[in-house]
This record gives sequence, structure tokens and C-alpha cells, in this order.
Amino acid sequence: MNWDIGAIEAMVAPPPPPPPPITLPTITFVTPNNAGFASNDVTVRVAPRGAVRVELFRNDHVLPIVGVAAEDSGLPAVTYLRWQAVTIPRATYMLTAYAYDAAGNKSLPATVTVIRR
Amino acid sequence: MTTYYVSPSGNNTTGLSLANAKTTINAGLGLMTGGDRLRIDNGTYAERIKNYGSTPVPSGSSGAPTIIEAISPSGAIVKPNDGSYYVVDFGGSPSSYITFDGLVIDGTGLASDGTYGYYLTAIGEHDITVKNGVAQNMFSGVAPFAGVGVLFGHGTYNMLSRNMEVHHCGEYAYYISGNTAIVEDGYTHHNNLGGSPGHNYVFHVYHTSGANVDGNIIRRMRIVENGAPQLGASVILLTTGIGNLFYNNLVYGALNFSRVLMLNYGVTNTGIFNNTFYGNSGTLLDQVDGTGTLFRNNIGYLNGSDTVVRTGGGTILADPNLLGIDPQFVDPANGDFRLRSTSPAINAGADLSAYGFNTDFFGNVR
Repeated sequence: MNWDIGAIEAMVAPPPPPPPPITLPTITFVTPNNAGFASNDVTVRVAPRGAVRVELFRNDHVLPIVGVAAEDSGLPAVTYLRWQAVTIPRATYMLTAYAYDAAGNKSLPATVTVIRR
Repeated sequence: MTTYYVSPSGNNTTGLSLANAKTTINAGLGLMTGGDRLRIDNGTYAERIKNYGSTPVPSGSSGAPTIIEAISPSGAIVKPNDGSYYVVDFGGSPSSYITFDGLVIDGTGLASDGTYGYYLTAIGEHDITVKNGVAQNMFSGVAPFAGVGVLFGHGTYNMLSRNMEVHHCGEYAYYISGNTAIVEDGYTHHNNLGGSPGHNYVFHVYHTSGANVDGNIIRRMRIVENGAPQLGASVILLTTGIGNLFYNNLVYGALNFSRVLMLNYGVTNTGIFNNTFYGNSGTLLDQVDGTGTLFRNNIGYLNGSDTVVRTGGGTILADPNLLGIDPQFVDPANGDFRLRSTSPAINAGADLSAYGFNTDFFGNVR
């Protein structure tokens, strides 16, 4: 305890409260399995949490998201993304998914590797 | 316990409602027994309140005090204006457990000497509270000008003054001769307008025969711009007792005093803690006669002399204090004695919580 001299204790402004912790959205792949095989029209299923938007990459190319749907109410707990793989050369690809919440916070990446054959 | 009413516009019947209110305070008092409440409407009442005679204020009990209160704070003015000596006159047998709340006690037109606002003086009187009100104008304008705002007399105990404004009293704002009184959270200003030269005090803690005046507390008071044409002895006089405390007070702008604080007549173990003394005339502290004084955590700045002297010897522990050094107040000219962030007073005090307080003038935790 550090007392001041005099009748009135100096009131030092308290530090501002810390910002509330940010809960980042999350995302995981449901399908395809890691190291799975992809054929023509691949359905990619991801399970975002706390998200309002998802993003899908094949290597470093943004994949067009076709036919997004939610399996339950509220946020898209499981979202279907279709990968029109027929035009993709045969090779091994990394799929990366991100989820975004309403404030624009971005999830850590979820990744799987798929083999186009 | 019954509530009665007094109002100048009452019909002077039962007193049990504002419409049926008695028209004088004494008529209302005549209805009361101990523990009752008397609510007084706005108006000026030319009468005295007494604890003797035909309509005395009855004593209450510890759980049920008798209450005399203004319906609107400061709206009920008790102003005898009759050349007598007292407004609230408890010169009878000792009373107890009585609360005066929100009244304006006005001494205009009282006698020219020895007038009192609250004259609470019987030996054995106790637990009387005056609060949220005003005691004013105990000053006739005629020599010798003496007058007292509030008296807690010899032999009284557990008296309380809270949030009272006491001003324009001739010689003393508070005269305390009893034990264990508390005076707190009030405002005293422009007192000491007359009195005998060398005998003016704002706080006069003293008994004339030297009887002990023990365990009184004066705290969180704003003691402002008191001073007289006559030379005052000291703003605060603490004497003839053991263990009186004076802490968390703001004392500033007193004029024409020889001292700000004077300790005398064998006063013992006085605690003077965490006060701010600014711009008063006179020596900050003079221990004429006393011992065991603790003078700690005080600011003294721009007083007549920011010094602690022991003209009569005795012991004083006077450390730490900030005396004669600019404490860097925010705006002292306008009564703002908060400390700037660069003040040397910050974190320079001793922990005095052992003396029963750990807050400041505003009630903030130290």
C-alpha cells in the first residue's frame, strides 16, 4: 500500500481493460479424406464453426465454390463445395480451407491432400 | 412510533398529516413521545427548540431515535430572533438518541454574546446527531461578537455532526468539550468574525477546567476562509484530552490567525493525519503543551509558516510530511487540492491504516 501525503489521494487512471479474447472461427475437412483420390466431380465438405463464410484453395488457386449448402440451421456447420475436377491435370493437390467470422477474423488453415487420377 | 407534521399552512389540528399539521415546531413537539418523528415543512419558524419546559424534545432509544427533520433539506429555518442565547437549547436534563436532520439553525437576532446554534451541553447527554443542515449567523454584529455554531459540551459522548455547514459564527464553529464526538463530511467557512482578540477558533476541543476531552474525531471537513478582524489564536485547537484525531481535512484560506493548529493543556497522543493545510495565516503547528503527538502525512504549503514548533516541548513524531514544498495541486485557487501526477506527495506517505482509516477526503481507498 502506497499512501500519498495530504487529504486527497491521487487517482491514477486505471489501465484500460484488456480487449475481450477473440475466438477465431475454425474449419475442418469432412471429405475428401487426406491422401484420398479424386475423380471428376469432387464434393468437398468442410465443417466451419463460428463462421459466416468459407474459402477453398487448391494449391494456391482459389477454387470456385459451387453449390454451397448448410446441413443444419444457423452457421453452415457443414458446407458442401464442389470441385469441378474433370479439367484438372492428373497430379497431387493440396486443398486448403479457411473460415471467416462476421468481423472478418480468419481461421487457421485446414488442409488435406488429394490425388487426381 | 408516530410521524407528526409542522407547516405554516397546516390547520393546526392533529398534526398527523401535512394538511392537519401543527403550525409551530413547539406545538408539534407537544405531541411527541420518544422515538417519534417530526417533519417540518418549508418556512421560517420564530421559536426555540428545547429539551425542557412544556414541550421538550423527548429522548429516543438506541433502535428508535427521536427525529426532528426538514421535509425539504434546508427548507425549514429555525430563527428565534428574540434576543435570547440559544436556538436548539438542551440546557435541561441530559437527552439521548435524538437526530436533527436538514434544519437551518439561524442565530440572527440573538443576544450579542454567548449565542449558540446547537447548545448540547448536559453532562451525560449522548448519541445526538445533527446532520445535513446548517448552523449560521451566531453573530450579532455587536461587540463582543461571540457565538458558537455547535456545542458538544462537557460530559457528552457519542455526539455526531455529519454533512453540516457551519458559517458566520462569531467565535467558534465547533466547541467540543465532551468525549467520542465525531464531526465529519462538513463545511465550515467565514467563522470567527468577532470574539475576544486571541481567542477565536474554528474547532475548539477544550474544557475550561482541564477535564479530559478524549477520543474525538474530526475528519473529511472542508475548513475554508475563516478569519476575523480580531486576531485568532488558531484555526484548530486540540487540548486537554487523549487520543483525539484530526484527519483527511482540507484547511485553507484562514486569515489573521497566529497558528493553524495549536496543541495545549497537556493534550496527549493526538493524531493529525493526512490533512492538507494551504494558504492559512500563522504557524502550521505549535505544540504549546502536549506529548505523544503524531503529525504525519500532512501537506503544509503557503501557510504563514510551514513549520512544526514545540514552544512548550513535549514529543511530536512529525514524519513524513510535505511542508514548504510545492505539492502541485490541480487548482488550489478554486479549492481543487487533488495532486497532479508529478506531485512529490504521491506515494510518499506512511501507511496509517492502523489508526482506523484507509480512505481519503473523498472516501477513495488509499
